[in-house]
Amino acid sequence: MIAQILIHMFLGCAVSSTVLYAMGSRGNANALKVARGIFSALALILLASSTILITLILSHDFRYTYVQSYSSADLPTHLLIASFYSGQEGSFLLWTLLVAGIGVILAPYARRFGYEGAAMSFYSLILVFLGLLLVAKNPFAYVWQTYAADGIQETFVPEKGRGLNPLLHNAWITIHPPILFTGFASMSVSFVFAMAGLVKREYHRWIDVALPWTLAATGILGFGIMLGGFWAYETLGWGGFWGWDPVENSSLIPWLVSVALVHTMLVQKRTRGLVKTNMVLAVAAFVMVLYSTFLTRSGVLGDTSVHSFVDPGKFAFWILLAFMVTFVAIGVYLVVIRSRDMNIAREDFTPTTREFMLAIGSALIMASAVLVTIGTSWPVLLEIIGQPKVAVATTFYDNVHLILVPLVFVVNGLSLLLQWRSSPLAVIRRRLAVAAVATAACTAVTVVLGVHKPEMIVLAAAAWFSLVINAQHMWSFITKSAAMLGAYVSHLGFALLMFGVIATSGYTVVHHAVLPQGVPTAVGDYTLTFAGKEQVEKQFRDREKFRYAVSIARGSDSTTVFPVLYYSDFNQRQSAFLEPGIRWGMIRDLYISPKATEMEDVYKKTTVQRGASIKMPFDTTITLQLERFSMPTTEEPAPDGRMRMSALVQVESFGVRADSILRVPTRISQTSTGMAFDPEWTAIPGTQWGIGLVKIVRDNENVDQSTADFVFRDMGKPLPTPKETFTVEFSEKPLIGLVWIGVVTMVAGFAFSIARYARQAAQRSTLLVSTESPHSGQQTIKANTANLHPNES
Amino acid sequence: MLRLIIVSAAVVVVPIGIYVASKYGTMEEVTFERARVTAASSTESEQAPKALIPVTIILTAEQSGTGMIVAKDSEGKEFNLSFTGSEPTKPLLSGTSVRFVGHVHDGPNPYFHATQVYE
Repeated sequence: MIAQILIHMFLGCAVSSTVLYAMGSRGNANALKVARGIFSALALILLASSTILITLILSHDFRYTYVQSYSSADLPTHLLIASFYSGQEGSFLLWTLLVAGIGVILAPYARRFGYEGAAMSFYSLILVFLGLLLVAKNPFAYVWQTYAADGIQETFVPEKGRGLNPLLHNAWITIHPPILFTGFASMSVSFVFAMAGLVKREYHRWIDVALPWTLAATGILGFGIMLGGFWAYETLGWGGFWGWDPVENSSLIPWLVSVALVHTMLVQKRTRGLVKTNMVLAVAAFVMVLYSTFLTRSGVLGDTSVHSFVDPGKFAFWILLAFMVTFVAIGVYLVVIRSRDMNIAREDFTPTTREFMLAIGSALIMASAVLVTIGTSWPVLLEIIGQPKVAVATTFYDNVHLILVPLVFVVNGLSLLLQWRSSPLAVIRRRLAVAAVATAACTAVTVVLGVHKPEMIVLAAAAWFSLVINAQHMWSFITKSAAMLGAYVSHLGFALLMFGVIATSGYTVVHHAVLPQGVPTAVGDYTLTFAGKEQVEKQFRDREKFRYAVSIARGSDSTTVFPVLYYSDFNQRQSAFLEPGIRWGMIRDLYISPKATEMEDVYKKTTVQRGASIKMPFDTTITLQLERFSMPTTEEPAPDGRMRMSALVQVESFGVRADSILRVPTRISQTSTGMAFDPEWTAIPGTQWGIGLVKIVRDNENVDQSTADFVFRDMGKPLPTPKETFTVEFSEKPLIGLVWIGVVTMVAGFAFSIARYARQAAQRSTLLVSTESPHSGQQTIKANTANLHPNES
Repeated sequence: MLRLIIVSAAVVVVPIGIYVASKYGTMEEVTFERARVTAASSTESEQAPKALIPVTIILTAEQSGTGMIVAKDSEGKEFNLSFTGSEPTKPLLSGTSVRFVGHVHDGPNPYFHATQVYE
């Protein structure tokens, strides 16, 4: 109850701080002072709410719907903590907590630049909408509140929790979502500074203030996206690192817009051009976070995504829609009313300048964002026009990017060959010639190494062009100023990433293999042997999780990997949970994705209809007649609790009927594919043979049509162990390591740039603080810019 | 010049994007048998591909007594259909002709699991 009150208190505080910060931005110092206090209070309230939720999860308080739905008593601590954000409600709480936490750091930063009132009022408004979402999707609802319509009483406490989806039972769940949500949360900062810039009519200064934050948001979100890809590849057994699923795209779209924004901000910082573009992109980057959230959490995509959230209900749907529409309206309104002002310093760029190429590059990145948005929104667009809701094929994204990505690389390379403001043609020709020769040589090597598809050669050539030029620049700056390396390191990382994509998407070799246990099987150039399986994670009672030992040998080189396949009660055992087995390598990964498993039938089954007779397969002197079946209600349950049924069989030996009917019991359990029968071996009197009942097919309309399947064995011999057949997809994924190295390098480049521009911003704020009048700040900043490194800005 | 390039590109990208997406994001109407064949030829790593089947309902789920709708496709083949989508505006009565989107569950007793329904 306290937590529910806290959520409402938080919403009240968010509304108050929005109003008070807005009053503060109009010069009301007292309002500003109170707003600061309220903002700190709302952050504390959220911290308290989050602590309560964690405590409820850790103490297994299943009175709460959220705790009951996403956790269970058998989960280890790190997964219990991850349960916090595994559902829609908890992930909203985490997002809100992170926005508030960043706000606590942002407020004093904004104050240093004179942006506190304006920026924090917009920032608080974001929290208002998040607060409304928390009210609509309250993680502290009691079970009796959620299921009141089903007549659940207040006193009802569920015995156990549903638990966390077994797919999420790994370390990545504790790392990936918090980083991704930090990226999402920090994407709002450039938006609020842009809006504050518009309110204060400071169309250039906000760039300096917001640039380190924009870089940080882009870097963090990019890192979070990469971790998701790595998780999918390493643990989830999806076979790849990127599937163009709407949930993946929903992170990628704002990231792409933010990357475009970073580049256009740099252009404005240097040339004072692209003023309106930056405002629009700052709005777009944040709005795309909201739009993506709306797409994946409102239920509009339906079943066209493999892992979007379920329908959150009408109230949450409308809040999500209002959230998005409100911020689009605010952004558009402010940009339009300040439009004339912003054209004061308008200038056009000539094509032979760096700023021109950076603008074109940003436009290409935006084209990518637009096309991914169209693809992701496709099911919604179809629904609007009354057509069946279908997702676009992933080849749509692949094919459009086969055109866009090479262009981005070429434009990136050209932008670095050109200078700011103007570039003499002779200089351009000389630089271009050197880069072209190096690119041609590297591309030729790539072709010799086996890249032969034309589209891949074009992509590789473009990536080499960018890589060569960025490497040249890195080399020239590495001794002069390491702080300047950020952009080049990031571009280099992007090129490496693309080489990994070329190799793995164009040249992965996939084999389908059926591996009988203990039998070496030739698969491509390798010999695969399924050696056996071992049960792991026995503490979980919803599953029997097995890891399958598969050795991969080629020549004298041999290794064993352990893919995992199991069924769980979590999804009523409807489909298997899979984890791949990977042999990591510098040149290639060997990747085994489990597909299916089947037990060998060690006994030959014999089907008998009720009332009919059969000869026993091993001894034809014995005749068995299926008299009838016993009902489960007349049988004692098995010691393990399973239901029992029996076939009642009349045995006849050498034509002589036995005095009594033989009872042949079996244990029955319900599975997703029907009834499973576990025979209790029964000795046939006077013989060495045993009989087992392995299936009953009951015909309720005509009981005489009911049948039983029997199996037989020599009771003097031990039970044979049935062999298992393991079906897998075996792939050789060349140079996939470059994908991970490339992304880490990209993120490292962002880190360099954040440090550089944060330092510059700090220098400017110091100068601003030392001047009494805010108007004199502009002059001081100009003077300070003149003292920077000649290649900076 | 830059403005001209970017505005032109912006004007062109959206319609081209929608046109290209339409080439990759449509579903042809098929029969149940065709959907079964497509499902059987897909790799095991994927869920059976989605299919759009125009049908005439013969027996509603209630009438069939099995919880499944019995429907007839354009070739007149009858098959079982389980519908788990949101409640349609018009009831799915016997004799109604509609289009279902879903995928085939193959096996000894194949059926079509539909999640969307359209007129």
